[in-house]
Amino acid sequence: MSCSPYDLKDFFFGELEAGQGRQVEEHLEGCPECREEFERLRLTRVALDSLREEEPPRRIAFVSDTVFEPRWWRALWQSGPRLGFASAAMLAAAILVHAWVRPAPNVALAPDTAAIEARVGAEVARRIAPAVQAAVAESEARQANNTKELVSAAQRRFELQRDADRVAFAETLTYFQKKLNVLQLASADLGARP
Amino acid sequence: MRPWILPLALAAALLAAGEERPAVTRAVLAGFERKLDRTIPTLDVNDPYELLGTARGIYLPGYGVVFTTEISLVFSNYSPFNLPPAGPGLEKLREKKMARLPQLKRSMRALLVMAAASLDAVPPNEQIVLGISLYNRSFENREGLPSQIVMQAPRQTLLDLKLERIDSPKLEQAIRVQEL
Repeated sequence: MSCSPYDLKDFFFGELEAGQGRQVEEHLEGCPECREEFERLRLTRVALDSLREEEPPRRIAFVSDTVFEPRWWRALWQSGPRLGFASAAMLAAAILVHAWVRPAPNVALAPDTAAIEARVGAEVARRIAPAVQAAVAESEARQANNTKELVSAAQRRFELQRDADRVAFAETLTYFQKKLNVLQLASADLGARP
Repeated sequence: MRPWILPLALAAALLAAGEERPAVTRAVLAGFERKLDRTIPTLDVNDPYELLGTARGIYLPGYGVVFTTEISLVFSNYSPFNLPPAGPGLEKLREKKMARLPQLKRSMRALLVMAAASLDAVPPNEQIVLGISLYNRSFENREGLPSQIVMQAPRQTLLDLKLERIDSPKLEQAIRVQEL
């Protein structure tokens, strides 16, 4: 209930006279309730001003107007044969589209070569290091064995050569002993001659 | 039986028993040993054999005399400071020794005849034996090369050749040759 001397709506829409308007303004300054109502009116007007203005329909519509006819898809949905035909047509269209538009080849994503190389390198290093160590150890053992055999063979050859030299030297000594014997006997024979 | 045969046989027996054959003494053998030592190096004056052992003779009563010596078919002249021949040199040495073998055998036959003529003390039915050892080094290829040749024949057969009662082919049949 407004206690304003005049209707606040009239004041709000500017329908009061000037004196009446001043009285209402003075009253609003002293009456918080009326001032609050006046603010609500103003807010309502601001809100209404923000709405778009629409023009009211100019003619009357009838049920028989095409405006009220069902949409084509609704008619299609409500008709079984049409729906079946439409479904078959869509299926055929889908088949054709699928036939024409081949699916994109399944292109494999480009691998991250750097990461693969790093991983392969690490794995190779992990496997190769022990294998290399084993191979080196085996090679060294084989080399040591070969060296041992070579040294043994060289020693055997040396011993054989030494034996052969010893035999040859002994034969040469025997040869010279025989020659010496012949010479001594020949010398004695010459000395015994008159 | 005729009466004159018996006295004749007795007389022959007495004559034979009374004949004195000179003994085969050491001096006889030594004389021929020296003869062998001087003869063997001169058998081939162009390429003499190398005498490595003086001749040694021994008389085996009832069998005969045996002379042995040692030679090298090739004058080797080894030295402890010379390397022994190898490869083609060894084969050449063997071929040379093989080539000289027939000549040595002919010379040995001549020496046998000479011994039969010189050694009167040896009964004719006993053997004259000559053995020659051939010196080879251990590194040599000795295939086909003997290390010893021994020749022997009855002294009478050798004398028959000397007196030309038999010819050389017959002597070849009578001489026994052994190669070891």
